[in-house]
Amino acid sequence: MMTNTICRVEYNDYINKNIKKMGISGIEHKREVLPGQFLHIKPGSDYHGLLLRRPISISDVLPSTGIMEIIYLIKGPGTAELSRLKPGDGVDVLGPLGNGLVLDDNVKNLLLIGGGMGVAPLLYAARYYKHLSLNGIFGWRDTGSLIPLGAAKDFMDRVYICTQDGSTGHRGLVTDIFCERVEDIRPDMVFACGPVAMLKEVQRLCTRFGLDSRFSMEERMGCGVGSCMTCACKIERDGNWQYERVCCDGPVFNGQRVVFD
Amino acid sequence: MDINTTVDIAGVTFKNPVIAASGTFGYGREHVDYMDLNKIGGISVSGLTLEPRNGNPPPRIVETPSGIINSVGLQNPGVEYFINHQLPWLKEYDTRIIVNIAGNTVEEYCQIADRFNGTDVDMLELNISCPNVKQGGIAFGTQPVMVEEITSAVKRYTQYPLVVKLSPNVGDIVAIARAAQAGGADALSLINTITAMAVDIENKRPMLENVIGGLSGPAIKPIALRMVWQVCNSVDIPVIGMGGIMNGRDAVEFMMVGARAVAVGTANLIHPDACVRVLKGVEQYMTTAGVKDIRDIIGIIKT
Repeated sequence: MMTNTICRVEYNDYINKNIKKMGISGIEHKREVLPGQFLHIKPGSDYHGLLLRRPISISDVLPSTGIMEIIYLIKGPGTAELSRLKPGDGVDVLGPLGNGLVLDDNVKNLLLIGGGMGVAPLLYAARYYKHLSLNGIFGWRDTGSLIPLGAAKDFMDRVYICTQDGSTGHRGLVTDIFCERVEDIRPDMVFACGPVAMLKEVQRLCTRFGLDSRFSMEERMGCGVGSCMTCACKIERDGNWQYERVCCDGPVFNGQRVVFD
Repeated sequence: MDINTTVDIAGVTFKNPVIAASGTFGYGREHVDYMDLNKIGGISVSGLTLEPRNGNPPPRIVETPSGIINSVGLQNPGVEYFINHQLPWLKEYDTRIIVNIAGNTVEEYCQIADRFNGTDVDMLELNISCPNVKQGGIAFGTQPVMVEEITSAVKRYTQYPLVVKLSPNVGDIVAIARAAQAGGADALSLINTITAMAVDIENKRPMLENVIGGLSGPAIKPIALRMVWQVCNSVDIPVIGMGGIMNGRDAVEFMMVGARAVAVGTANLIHPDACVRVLKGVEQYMTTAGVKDIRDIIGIIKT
């Protein structure tokens, strides 16, 4: 029987202005952690007024120690509470949860496309699929919202970086670079995570280029195990659509089946 | 110390008074990796409608101080799917199955109730208090005349004891409870969520796509206790108390104001094994306080 475990914070450091990276040890897991899977982390106790766990994607699993890393933006009271944790503190973790990215053996050339905080799970995807031909296109609003790629950079053949204000890398959007480079990269699969506007455009371009894709989706979430039905994502099935659960039907869905309104 | 935790509700014996509340526990399956379903008194399955329902567009959940607001809108696979694919599996467990049903019309409620006859469930819970659906739901639960009418109508169609789940979004909860009793309800469960709203000031819009949702969690516990207390003092049928129960102490509070059993809801969203945690807490309280029989504390508070 699985249970949420009180795990140990190994480090919890700023990697940009309001962005921190936390390393957590002691997370029990029976199966290999897949890119796109997430940890459901409880900030504070029930009587701090913060009830729900925060679903945060795994941004790396360190091979030597098994430490799992998350990268999170300090946005509300929950993430502010998480940001106060110090090395040695206990943290209540459920997971790894969700369906991660599983690729068929015929996928040889994977392109990672990430925007904003959506870059975080792609960093682990880079480690996990480092044996493939691997390229990355990553973009942020500006340098202040950028996620340093760290070790992931070494796993990829080519990395394209952009910011909307041009303060780091190319000026523009990841989808601009995607259009420009798709002919050189010639991927046979795209794995994308980021804001809805970005994913919508990636989806349109994948259809145009005839590319298969997987998207890691985000939605406000409750239980994380599939019973509360709050994290709904519109998915096309048999010519119709239905709400599926990001927590356990996803978070990784076939990108061409995600329905954007 | 040997303790007795069994309680009886409308002729149905529960091994203990802890029930998983409808809408927070799916159909049980999602929780088996985290807890033993055989341990808890019962499971009230997520609300079922005649046809499958997609529910409301996301976002469907937002956290507020000590509470959450949800606007799921009864997303469910429909009665037939439940009976064919979920119920046989659930029946393998030694726990009471309460089927929570919701309809758009009185006739639909009756049809669903009728469909469950012969399916070997334990109780029917009439959901006339869902705040998140446009038709039916709460519309039936806020007028005493309607509550009595729908209760007596469904009662005629079901072979099972009928629990009526009450909405707190009413002027006089006692009048509603009495109407359900007059309609033939065998038990009552309360409270459902309190209609509520949250605002995103950065984007100048409601936090929930549905604008309004139902508030649950510790934030509503004092209101729930007050209503359970009032209702228990006004009707003769047993009451299942709920509203923000997070631990054993909370459960004991509800029983002390008169609830025969308790339902754990929001806590399931935080700890998938919350029901077992609450049960352990109740047992611990009994041992510490020297309570041999859980029934001895029902309605025990002195006023």
